[in-house]
Amino acid sequence: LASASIFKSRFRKIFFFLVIPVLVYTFFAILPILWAAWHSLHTDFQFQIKFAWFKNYDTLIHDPDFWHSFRNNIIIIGINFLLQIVLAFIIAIWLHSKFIVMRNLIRSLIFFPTILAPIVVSFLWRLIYNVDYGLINTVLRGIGLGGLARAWLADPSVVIYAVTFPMTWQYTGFFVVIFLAGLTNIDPDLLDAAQIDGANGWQRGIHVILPLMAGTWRAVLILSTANGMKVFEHPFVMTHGGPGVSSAVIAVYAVINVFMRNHLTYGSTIAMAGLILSFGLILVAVLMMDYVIVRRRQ
Amino acid sequence: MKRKTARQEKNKKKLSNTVARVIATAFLMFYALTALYPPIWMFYNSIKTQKEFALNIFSFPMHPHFSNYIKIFERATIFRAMFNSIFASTFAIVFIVALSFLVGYVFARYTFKGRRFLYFFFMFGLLVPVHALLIPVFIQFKTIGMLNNQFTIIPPLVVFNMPIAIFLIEGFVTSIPESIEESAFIDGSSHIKTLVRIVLPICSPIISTVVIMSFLTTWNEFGFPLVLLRDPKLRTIPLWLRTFSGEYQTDYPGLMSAMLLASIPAILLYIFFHERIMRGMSAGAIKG
Repeated sequence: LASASIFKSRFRKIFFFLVIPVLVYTFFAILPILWAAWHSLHTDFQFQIKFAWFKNYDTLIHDPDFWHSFRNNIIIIGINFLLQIVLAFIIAIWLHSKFIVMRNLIRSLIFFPTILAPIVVSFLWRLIYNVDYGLINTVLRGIGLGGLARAWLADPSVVIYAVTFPMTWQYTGFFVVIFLAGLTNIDPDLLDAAQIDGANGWQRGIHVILPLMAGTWRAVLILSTANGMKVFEHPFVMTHGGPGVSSAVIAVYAVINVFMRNHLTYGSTIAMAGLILSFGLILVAVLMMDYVIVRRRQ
Repeated sequence: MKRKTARQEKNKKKLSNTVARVIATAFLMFYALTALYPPIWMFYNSIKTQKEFALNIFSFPMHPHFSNYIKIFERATIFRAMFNSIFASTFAIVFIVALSFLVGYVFARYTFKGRRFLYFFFMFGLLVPVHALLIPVFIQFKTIGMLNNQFTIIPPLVVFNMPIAIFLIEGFVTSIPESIEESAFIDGSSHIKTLVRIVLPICSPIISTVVIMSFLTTWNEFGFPLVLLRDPKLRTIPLWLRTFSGEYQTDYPGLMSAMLLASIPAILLYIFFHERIMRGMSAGAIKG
């Protein structure tokens, strides 16, 4: 009865509560996208802006540098999946078992790099990759593999991997903690039952934990795809997308076009394409996961 | 005889368990060290001279000295940047908390037409590749003349931190019994008053998580200040660090000191609130 009174006259109240947040959010988060969509249908020449339908999109489709940047986003997503996500899952399973001593301490240490500013991490790794004083080259020379030492951030054949690795390093702990949160939601009785039935650690991992964590995996895949498309700071700070555009990602390529080449409307086009491709990829990841989950249930 | 083998078997299993336990712990410890060593390396090299650093990048400093730090403070550009960062973070956090609390509360308490749409609307902000919006936001701000002032950077910081805050607050409010507001309401308190005086204080655990997380992300933000702020006076700490590295190209220990100074607030927060930060960040992420 009482509940009827407080949550009544609802429409006015809900409107009253929501109007400011929704307006602010729409104006600063959604409107820029519409603005950029409109802007991307123009061309600019020496700051003269003129409506030109899909001319920029036509340029974009035939722009090898754009596709190279997109390819780099995909490489980052792929490497992070193989190194970061899989490693994080294994570490999380280990950390979850009572088996390990000092679990909380280890967890906090592993998570630590996540809270550092991306710009600090990028500078730090630029030092680590430094040709003369870097950790990597010094270690390589120290163990007699000096031949492998190189200018990691100036060599087009390795630079994208060199730029990816700091991100892998920085955010592995983040995914460990996410997997751990998923693991604590699993009923321990189920695991005990599996153990009693004679399943060893590995079997428990594959046949019991993995299916039970489908929801977490779904979230992790969406998240890591979104993160891989959002990458900006690390390549921008470490290499400016260089040498050339060999380590550029979509966001970096857009900024390069606007601020270094003065291609303002083309920058909007790249941003729009980036948004479309991101949501396309996220959708693919979601559908794939749902397909796998449904098939397992059958 | 049979009993003995069983016991041996058991002992063997126990031993192999212990060995596995030691190996697994050692591996994890080693991994934790690889996560920790680079920042530590950065710290102890920041208290070396350039000469000592060039001689051996691994060795601990023989004569630790803090002249790198003193030099930074003497140049004093850092103070202005600190002010700008604190200014932006403070304002942003106030708005993030206020706006997200309203939305989170409505999501937790009301079912209404359009709720799903609105939910998706905010979810979009969680999944959108934020940095694809750098140029769109830049163009909008340029058109409406909002570039380059003390408040420029605040709105983007607010709206892109709102979604995660909304979902955290929603989850928390859902766990509070509705009877709390109802009884206050019966006692004659208006709904808004009830929200501010009663619900908000109950939510203080999740609000403080939101404050801490928002501080971390706003303090660390680099992309938006980079494209929206041109005036050197408006530089936030990450932009200051970038300029500094340009000027101190080969003074590696000096650069490391600057990096460390830029990270100190985040590191301190992590030391005191690491459980809360980890819980908040993973819970907020999984919502998506």
